[in-house]
Amino acid sequence: MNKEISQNWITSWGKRHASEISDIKETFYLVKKSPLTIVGLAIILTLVVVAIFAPYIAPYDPVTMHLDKRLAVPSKDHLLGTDELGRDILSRIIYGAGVALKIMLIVLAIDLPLGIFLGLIAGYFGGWIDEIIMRIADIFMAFPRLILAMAIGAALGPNLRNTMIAIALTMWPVYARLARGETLSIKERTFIEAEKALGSSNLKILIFNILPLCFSTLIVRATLDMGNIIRIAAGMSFLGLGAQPPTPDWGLMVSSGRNFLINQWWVPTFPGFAILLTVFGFNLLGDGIRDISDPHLRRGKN
Amino acid sequence: MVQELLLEIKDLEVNFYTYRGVVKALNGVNLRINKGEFFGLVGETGCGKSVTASAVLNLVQNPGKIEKGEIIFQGMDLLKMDKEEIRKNVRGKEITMIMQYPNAALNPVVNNGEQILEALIANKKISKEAAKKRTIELLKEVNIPEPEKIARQYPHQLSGGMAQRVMIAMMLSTKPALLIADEPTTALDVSIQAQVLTLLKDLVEKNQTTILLITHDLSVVAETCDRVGVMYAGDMVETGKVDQVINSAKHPYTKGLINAIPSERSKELVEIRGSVPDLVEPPTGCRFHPRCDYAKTICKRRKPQMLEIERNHFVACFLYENKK
Repeated sequence: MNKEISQNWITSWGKRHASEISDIKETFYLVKKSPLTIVGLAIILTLVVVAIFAPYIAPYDPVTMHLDKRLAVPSKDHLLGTDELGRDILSRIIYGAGVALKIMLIVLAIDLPLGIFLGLIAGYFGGWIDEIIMRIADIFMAFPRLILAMAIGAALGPNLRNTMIAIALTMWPVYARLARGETLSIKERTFIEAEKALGSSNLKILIFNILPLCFSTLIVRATLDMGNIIRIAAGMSFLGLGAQPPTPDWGLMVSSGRNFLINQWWVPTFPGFAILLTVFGFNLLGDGIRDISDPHLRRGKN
Repeated sequence: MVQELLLEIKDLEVNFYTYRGVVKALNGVNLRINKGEFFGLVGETGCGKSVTASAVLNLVQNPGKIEKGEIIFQGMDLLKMDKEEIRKNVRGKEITMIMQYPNAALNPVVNNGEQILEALIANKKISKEAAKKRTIELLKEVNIPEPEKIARQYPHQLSGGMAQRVMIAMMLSTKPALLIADEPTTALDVSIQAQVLTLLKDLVEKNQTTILLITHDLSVVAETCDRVGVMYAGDMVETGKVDQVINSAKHPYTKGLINAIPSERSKELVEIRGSVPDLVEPPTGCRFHPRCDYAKTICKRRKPQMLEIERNHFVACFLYENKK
C-alpha cells in the first residue's frame, strides 16, 4: 500500500518534470558522442579530486626538505623524483593542483560578477555610462594580457594574492564586453517590451529578464578561460611575480627547475607537464560545453 | 446609455529623428475611447498605429519624440506626468499591452506560471500562495486547458495561440482599465485567430475591460469591434461605429480598403493605386491626395478637419465639407 503511493509519487514527479529529464538525458547523449569532451572532463575531474584529497594522496609533505635526497632520479620511493631541495616532485604537483584551482576560482569569482554587472549596465543604459565603462575596458584590452598582469603584479608586489588581483584586472573586460553584447541584443527583444508594458522597473528587467539569458554565453566563455587563467598564473609564478617559495606552485617549480633541465630533466618537466595537461583539459571541456549548449546541435524541443 | 470617456488623444504628434530626416509619424491624431468599448484601429503598415499605442504607454523609443498633444487617461494627462510615476502607477496597472508575436513576448527562460506570478507580485501586494492560486485562475479565465500543466511549461513549448493566451492572462493579472492589443492575431493561423478574438470579446463583455485593438485586417475589426478608427500615414481619417464605417464608408481611403478585401461579389481584386507616402516628406494638405480619385486642389493645400457627418461618425475629407 505504502509502496504503491510512493511509486505513484515518483511517476507523477517524472511526468511533471518530463521535459527537464529529457533535457538532461540529451545532454548525456551529446557528451557521450563527443570523446574529446569526455577526456577533458576526466582530466578536470581527476584534477579536482586530487586537489581536494591532496593530503591523503600525496606520499610526502610538499615543503619539507630532505637535503640528503637532492635531485633523486624517479624511483619507487619518489615516482617523479625529487627537486634541488630533496622535496618529492609528485607530492608537490599534487598540492600544486589545489593552488592552481584556487587561483582560477578566485579570479573567476571576482571577474564574472564584476564583468556581468558592468556589461549589463553598459549595454542596458547605453549612452555615456556605456562609453565610460567600455572605454575603460578598451584601455585594459589594449595591452597584452600577460604583460599587463605582470605590470600590475610587479606594482602590487610579488605574492599569490596580488597575482590573482592582477589577473582579475586583466580579464574582466572580456566578460563585460560579452555581457554588454548579449544585453544589447536581448534588450531589443519583444519580451522586454512586454515587460516594460507591464510597468517593470529597470532593475527587475535586468535581473529577471536579461541576466539569465546572458548566463549561458558567459559560462561557456568562463570555462574556456579557466585554462588561460591557470596558464597566466603559472607564467607569473615562473617570472617570480606570483607564488613565492616554498609554495608548491607549478609555474614556480618549472622556474626553479629550469637550471637542472639538462642533467636532471624530471625536475622542470613534470610540473610543466601538469600545466599542459590541465590547460588542455580545460580547453577540451570548454569546447565541449560550447558545442553541447549550442541549440543548433540539440534536437527540436517538444 | 451614457458613455464614460476613458482615453482621449488630442492632436498627438510624434516625430522620429533619423539620418534621412524627420519622419513625421503621427500628424495630429485624435482619438476617443469610452469605457467598456472594443475599439479597433486599422491602417496599413507604417501608418502610425503602433506608434499611437506606444505613445499611450509612454514607450516611444529613441529616436522618436512626442512633439505635442495630450493623452488624457482617466482624467490625467499622461504626457505631463513624471515618467517614473507612469511606470509605477499606470503602465502595467491601468494600461497593458499584448504583442504581435506571443512566443517572443514571453521570457524564454522562465516558465509560464512564474511569469504571471511575477507580474502579480510586482504589481500587487499579495502572498506567493495567493498569487499561485490566482495564476491558475487567470489561466482558466483565458480558456487554457490543463492550466497546472501549462503553468509548468516554458514558452517555447506552447503554440502561438496558447502563448497569446498566457500573454493575455499575464496582462490581465493586474486588472487593467485599458488593454492594448497590438496585432494580437497576425502571427496566428485563422482558426486560432478566431478563438483569441472571441476571448478578447468575452473579456470586454464580462470584465468590463476596454480594449484597443490594433490591426491591419478590416475583417477582424468588422467581426469584433464596437467602434473603429482608420488611420492613413499618421492621420486619423475616419472614425465611427463599425457598421457605419464598414457599410457606409465615407473617406476614399476607407472605401479603398473595403474594396480591397477579396469577396464573393467582386472576383477581381481592387487595389488602391500608388503606395504609402514617405513620411520624411509627406504630401502637403491631405496626406492621401496623391492616391485619391476625388482629389481637388484644396486637398493639396489644407489638411482636412474631422467632420461629424452622422452621429458618432467622423470623417476627415473635403468631399463632405459643404454637405454638412
